[in-house]
Amino acid sequence: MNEPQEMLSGLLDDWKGDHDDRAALDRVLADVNERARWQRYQMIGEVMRHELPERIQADFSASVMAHIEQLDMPPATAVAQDRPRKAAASWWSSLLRPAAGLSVAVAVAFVAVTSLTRSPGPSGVSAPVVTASSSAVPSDPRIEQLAQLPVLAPSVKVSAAGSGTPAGREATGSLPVRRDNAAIKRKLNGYLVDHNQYAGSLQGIIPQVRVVAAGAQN
Amino acid sequence: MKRRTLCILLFITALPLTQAARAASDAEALGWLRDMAQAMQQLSYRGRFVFAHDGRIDSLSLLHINDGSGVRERLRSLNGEAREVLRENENLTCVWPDSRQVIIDRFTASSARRLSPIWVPRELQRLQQHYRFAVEGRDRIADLAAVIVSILPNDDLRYGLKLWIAEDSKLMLQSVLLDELGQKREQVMFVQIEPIESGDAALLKLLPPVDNSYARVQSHTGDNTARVAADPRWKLEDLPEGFRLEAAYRKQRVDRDGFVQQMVLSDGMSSVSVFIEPATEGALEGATAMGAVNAFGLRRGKVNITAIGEAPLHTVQRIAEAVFRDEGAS
Repeated sequence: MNEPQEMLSGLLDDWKGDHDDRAALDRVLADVNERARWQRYQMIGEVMRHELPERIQADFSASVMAHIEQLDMPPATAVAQDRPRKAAASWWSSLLRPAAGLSVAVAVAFVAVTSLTRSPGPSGVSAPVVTASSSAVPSDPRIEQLAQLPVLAPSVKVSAAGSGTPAGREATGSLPVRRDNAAIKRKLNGYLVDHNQYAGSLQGIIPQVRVVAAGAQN
Repeated sequence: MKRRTLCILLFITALPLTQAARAASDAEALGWLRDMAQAMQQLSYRGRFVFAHDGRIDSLSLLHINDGSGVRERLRSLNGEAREVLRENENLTCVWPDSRQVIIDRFTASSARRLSPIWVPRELQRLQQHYRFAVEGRDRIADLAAVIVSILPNDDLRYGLKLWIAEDSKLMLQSVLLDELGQKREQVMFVQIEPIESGDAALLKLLPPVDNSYARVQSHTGDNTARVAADPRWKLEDLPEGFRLEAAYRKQRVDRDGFVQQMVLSDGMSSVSVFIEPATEGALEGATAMGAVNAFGLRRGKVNITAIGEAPLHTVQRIAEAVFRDEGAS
């Protein structure tokens, strides 16, 4: 096991808590980069187990030691002892297993959707969807109009005039655009993440670029 | 009469030549695109680029390492808050230092198609039905000689794309996403990019300092193991031309009870997903967008239907409206 992460994985999988284990852990963690990696894996693991607290644990050493103490803790029963160790081993193994490919970031979704929302119109209500055949300017006039118009349109029509599109397709029912709604953002976040599992970036560069860029707008 | 006959003969002779010329042009352009996708994924490189979107420009740096043990990537904003995204194979960390927020996530490769997050052209015949490929000429970007490759749609149902590809390294130097009106929707342009040795991977190991003042703002397990077969009663009719169902499944939501059905449609390049789940308050009803991504939601009976993808709004809306339930299907 040449790779530090493999050493970490192996240590956790077979953790006995004896002097040798602790010495090996000290060696791995002596490198600041590996300390950072350890911290990162630890946080990722907590996310996966839905255990991450609202505030990230700061004391890195303490959190590592707490984790080790958990592993060292005498079990109440043989079953109780076996279960968490197997779970930890399984998690670390899966975490460190090389995986080909990566879907698009959740962060893309989060920031993207956050930035999707437009300011309400002057009346404080949402803007309507406007027609797709609006005149074009580079910044997308439809969206700009969305932000500016006060809304009142009880129903929405999106016309799709063009060579391959049936014209004048009616939207279903009344479709006010609901904005600044945390529930909508959360839902769209999840949708974008799932969608990006399938959709390759057309930009020639990984879609995470939207995360980093969109952050400036928030 | 002779003149007319001559014209017809010329037309008949020229037609196959024109078709052959187009096929050759398409093949050359697709060759460049495949090389580019492969280079962007497999090479190690670093660079700086600008990203123009939504009427603004951001500058970013990118470090991409592929050293045989996997792909590692570091994206960092060079203006405003030093926002940063680190990807190490399936692990992703996003850090916003000023706002003290961190996103940590892990993804599972869900499909063989997702070996690269960058679109790789496949199914040439299918693509040719809806797009024209061409090598448009030469240019110079980031002090490097580039070939310009365009992918332009034959209708207004999908976006077009222009890519500037380095002649030597085949790395992407510039991309411009064009909307259905031919206007720039998003643009990525490197101002500097260079291949590097994978030994620079050490640069990626440093995680930005994250202390207890940071708050977790979002997490998503990316776990696809909870997927089950799709409900066959949900169907699609009258889809925008060229789009077809590529995949469908149901998945338990992380943050609530119940399943959501996802149906993924594609025309070979652009993809749109439809999500169907029991109606709840706070679902999107109407349209919203960010850059090239459009979303459209509607409520139909007891369910919410939301379509989302990198396609024109009217295409996304038509796909959302194409969903119906066939109680007789099984």
